[in-house]
Amino acid sequence: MNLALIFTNASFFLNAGIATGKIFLWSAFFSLMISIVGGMVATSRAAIPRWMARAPIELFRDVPQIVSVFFVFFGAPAFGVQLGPLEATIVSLSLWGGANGAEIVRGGINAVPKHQFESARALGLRPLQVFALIVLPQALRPIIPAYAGLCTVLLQSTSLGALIGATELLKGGQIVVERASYFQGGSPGLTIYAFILCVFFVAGSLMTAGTRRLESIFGGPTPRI
Amino acid sequence: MGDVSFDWSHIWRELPPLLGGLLTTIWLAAACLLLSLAIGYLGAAISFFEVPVARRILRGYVALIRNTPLLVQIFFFYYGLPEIGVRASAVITGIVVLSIWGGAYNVENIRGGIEGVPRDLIEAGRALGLRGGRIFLLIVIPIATRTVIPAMMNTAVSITKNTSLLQAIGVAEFTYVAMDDMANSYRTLEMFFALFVGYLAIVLAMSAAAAMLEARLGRGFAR
Repeated sequence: MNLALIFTNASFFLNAGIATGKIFLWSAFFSLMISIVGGMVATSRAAIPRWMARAPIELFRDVPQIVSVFFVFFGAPAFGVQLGPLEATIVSLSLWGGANGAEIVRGGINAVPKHQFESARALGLRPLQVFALIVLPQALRPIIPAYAGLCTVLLQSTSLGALIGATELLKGGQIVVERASYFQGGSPGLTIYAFILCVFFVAGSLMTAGTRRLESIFGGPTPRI
Repeated sequence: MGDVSFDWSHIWRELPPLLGGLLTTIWLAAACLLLSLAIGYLGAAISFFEVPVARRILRGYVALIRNTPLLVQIFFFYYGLPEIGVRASAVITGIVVLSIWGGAYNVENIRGGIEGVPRDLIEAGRALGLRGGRIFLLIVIPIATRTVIPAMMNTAVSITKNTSLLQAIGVAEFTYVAMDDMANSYRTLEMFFALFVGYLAIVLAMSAAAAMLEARLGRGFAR
């Protein structure tokens, strides 16, 4: 074990951690936006927009996350969009999170009993009012804990950025390991990767605990019928 | 780089290595799935019988695996453990890590299923004179397994998709083959198309298999 290595590279790790945080926060934010819009469109009654939303949702859910990361980083330039590693990671995680979040939102909306829509309409509410006042508040109950769970996965997925060169925690660790083995000999991989595991474990456990709390507040997912 | 050209013949030419990679992905996934199920049932047994120390270790293992990124786990096993003399090839390391990862999820899946087994069935088994081991094997496991098939299938699909992370340590599975070809030929769109189609085919086939399995196991229990 070579704990000194962590302290000598403390500021480097701090920057890498900030990059991880940045990737996480931005992709969680964009995922949420995509989720809401995607989930609404995927439950709309018009067939064409519904399928246009559901096809990409299905695609991003079925393809490994790393493939979508590679696709955004290596594939987008063919369409004339060139993204840096950090941006490409954020974009691909947002698309992935958005697709999965849209499924959560869709499930939440579908879990609202049909008679709620009908009674709201019978009371003379307009479609937008029905959605905002009747459907959304009820749909949110199962959505919030599920989305928090998705965020926990999203936090772990930030490490995928390492494979396209975004200097987040894992890539930072890789650099420290390479530098140390080059200048000092030996391979401090065990210490560094264990350290990174610990950082993710602490952050992940806190988020899981938060999710549990949200679940108890919102009573968990609505019971399946 | 503005022009988007798509060359079908390139996919056609590269089909043999791509299919080889796909096959590697499938057998890797199958091996990891079996091992993770073994870990899952073992863990479920430990928590069912409340084995004193093993139970604590199991809880720590599940929490650790589920709260850390799989990619970091792969790096830890492949680049970290050789330092203390634990050395294995990329393929073996990959299978071990992915099985351990999937195992943690399956422990949780099966444990959840066991919690759903009605207490009176266990009591009935005891009343018939069955011992702990037989109650577990003959009553708890069959009932719990049937209820957790959907969750297990989710884990199986995740394991399959996550074999793609093994490309990071040089396992020549599907993603590795496609990315490798891309680096040589610059035919990015063709290769991504192949990746999308390949993974979509595997995942959809697994979903169909899950639906069939569920129907088969649910036979005679539908209300």
